[in-house]
Amino acid sequence: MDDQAVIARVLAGERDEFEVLVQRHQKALHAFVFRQLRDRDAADEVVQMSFVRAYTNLARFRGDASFRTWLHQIALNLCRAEWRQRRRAPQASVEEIPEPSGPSGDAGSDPRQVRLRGLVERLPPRQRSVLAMRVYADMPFKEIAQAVGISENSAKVNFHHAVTRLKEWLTR
Amino acid sequence: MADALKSLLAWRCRRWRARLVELAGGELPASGREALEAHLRGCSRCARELESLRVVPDTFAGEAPDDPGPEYWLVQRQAIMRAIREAERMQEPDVETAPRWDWRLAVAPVTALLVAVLGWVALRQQFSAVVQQAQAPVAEEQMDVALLDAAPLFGLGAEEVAESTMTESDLLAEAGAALGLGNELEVSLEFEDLTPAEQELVIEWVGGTV
Repeated sequence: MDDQAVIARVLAGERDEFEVLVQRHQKALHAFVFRQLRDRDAADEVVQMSFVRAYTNLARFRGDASFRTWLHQIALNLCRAEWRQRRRAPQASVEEIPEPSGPSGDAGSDPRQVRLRGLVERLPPRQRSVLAMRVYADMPFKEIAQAVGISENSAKVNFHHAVTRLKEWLTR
Repeated sequence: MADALKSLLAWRCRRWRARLVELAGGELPASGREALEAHLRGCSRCARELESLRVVPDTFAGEAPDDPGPEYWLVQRQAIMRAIREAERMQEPDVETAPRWDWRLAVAPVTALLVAVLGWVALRQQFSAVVQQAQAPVAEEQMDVALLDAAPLFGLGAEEVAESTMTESDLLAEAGAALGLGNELEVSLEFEDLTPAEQELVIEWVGGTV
């Protein structure tokens, strides 16, 4: 059963069917959000809020884009709110930043992986979002463009910028 | 200067960027392939970028975190469903304590609102001509500023723009056609990404090309 059919059943009153959508998308969404925020707890929270918002606004989902795109769009908006909040909050020193752990954590990873993740983090937010959706969620550029709110061509150009920058940093 | 020239060369190849991404992902239609391959034969920079687009994403895809196992996702899913039920409960009105609806209570505020709306409509009609008169020069002035900003990029002088009836979109379309870029100019123009020195070089180059 595809997402649209599940949504129709949820809207028809079979509310528990929403769990099918959660199960289907939670891993990819978590991986995407973690790469935006670099914090497992914050990622857990944003993923949860994204699904809650999707559920409470499900009747307004028009189906112009896929449910996955819409969900990533909601998550990206929540990530942006989190970035704004972090900019306002006093910055913790490096020693105060807890070691991430758990599914998306860096603890125990080899130095090469830590470096790769660090490089992705240095990308501008839009390039990072496009790269994460393409590489980790395997989304087509049309859906990425809809989720980020840019043209399909611009999504491709942003991806190009992200990859060429990463290549440059990797060869330094 | 070398860096500026490097940036300028990259800027000149900008129209191929999206096509390179499509080619690397196997999504470029056959119709666009021939032109890009011809460009790649003469542009080592774009050829290197194509190679990067094929190799680098795989490097990063390989660093995806290990799956923590079904238990973790089950716990998270249960937490999400609990939060959803809680949000749903908050949205539903409490049947026991919700006040009974009495339409008579709404008469006074609705009447006041109606009077206010009718008054506003009447006032708006009365002054619409004045408002339009006041707004028109502002819009024209904003368009003039936009056109004047864009003019040097396309080798046009301020006087030519002032006398022209072209819109900014017309200007971009015309410049795109003159440079053989079609509608690529508007979407790929990243002029603001360049340093002032590079922008000068671009202006000279675009001016010369036109």
